[in-house]
Amino acid sequence: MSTRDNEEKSIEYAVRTNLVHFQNWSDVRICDDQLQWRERTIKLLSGVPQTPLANGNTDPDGNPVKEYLLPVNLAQYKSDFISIECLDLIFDKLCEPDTKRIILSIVNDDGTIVFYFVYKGVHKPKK
Amino acid sequence: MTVTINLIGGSECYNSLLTPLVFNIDDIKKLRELGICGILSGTLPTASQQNIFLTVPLKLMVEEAIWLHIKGLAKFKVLRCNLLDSINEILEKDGEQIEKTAKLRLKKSFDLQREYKKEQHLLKLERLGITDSERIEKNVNGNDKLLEAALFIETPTTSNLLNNIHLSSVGWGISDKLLKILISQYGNWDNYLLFQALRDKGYVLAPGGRFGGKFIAYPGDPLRYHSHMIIRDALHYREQPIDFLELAANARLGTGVKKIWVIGSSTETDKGPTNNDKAIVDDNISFYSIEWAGFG
Repeated sequence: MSTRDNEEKSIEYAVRTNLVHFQNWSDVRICDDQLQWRERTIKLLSGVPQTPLANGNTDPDGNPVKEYLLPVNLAQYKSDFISIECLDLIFDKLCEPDTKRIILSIVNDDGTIVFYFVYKGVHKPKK
Repeated sequence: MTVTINLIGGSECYNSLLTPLVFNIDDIKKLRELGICGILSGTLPTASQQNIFLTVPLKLMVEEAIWLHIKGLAKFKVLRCNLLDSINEILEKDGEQIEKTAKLRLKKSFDLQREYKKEQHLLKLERLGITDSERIEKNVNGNDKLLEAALFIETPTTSNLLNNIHLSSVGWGISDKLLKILISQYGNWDNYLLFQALRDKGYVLAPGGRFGGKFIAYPGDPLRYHSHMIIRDALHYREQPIDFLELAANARLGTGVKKIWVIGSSTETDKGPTNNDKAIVDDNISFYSIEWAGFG
């Protein structure tokens, strides 16, 4: 199998495709930093949503700014092993220091992808 | 300031945890100011099924009881396992005395009321301009029957009997021992650490069963605020992965009820309460708050 095939089968690629073509995000890229975690290499994605998200930061003109995404597998029988220790490592090693949240992107094996905000610490719910 | 927490039940009775109860209204007020709300659990003997108008005792969560004790705000007392037996025992021993005291108290209350009412009556006659002493005499003392019918019987808010149980029960000295028993019966110490961390941040916590969590957290008094968070049972920091199906269910439910789902664990693993005699205080808790992103 070629590298390209592998790349296209990765969940990072699936999330990227979903964001670019389904959610209309811009500047979506797979981050270079990576974290060796159990049997997998964790890579985050970053991108800019079309409109500012709930509780999200904006630039001085009110435009949405970059969000980080953590792609994970939700297979029917075996999911990724993401513990709280793992989240701590991701915030510590893969995000900029002032990052308050990442977006957990759960890739289901039926092709759907769902997104959840994961805030570090105790956080108020959105309005 | 210390409040008295009564521990009742335990393995002999219900094969369950000791239940912390508070009977004193002033204590309950103090606890409320401290952000410990508990749940009123007393109901009316004639309508024991209703659960809208509830009164003392205030039932505390085990975490609340432990927290209060560790902060030095409460002492534990044990109510003997079988309350009925205790009450019967007291009635047998001190029944007469208790009855006498109660009667005496009632008589004193009546005397005071009579005195007050007569005084008021005289003032009224004076206002009406009746000064004839014979008429006054007749008017005041001729109304005894009416006056007797107007006397109030005060129902005390705390129980004399329970006070007597305390007297005949074990003293203060074993409070620390009771704490240890309570802790040893307590399943997951990390849950307590979660409770403590949130309480120390100023949140008021209540049982979270209604929303499928361990606790729910209010940013202030529950009568003034809606709760903001549903807190899950403590996870193990290293060994326990987040269940994504559970996450989806809770984050979606949370969004539906305007709450955020909070997970947390103690970063210092394998450090139970037994490793330290002075019931550890540990604030190395890692929290994450999760909600639906609004798309996908």
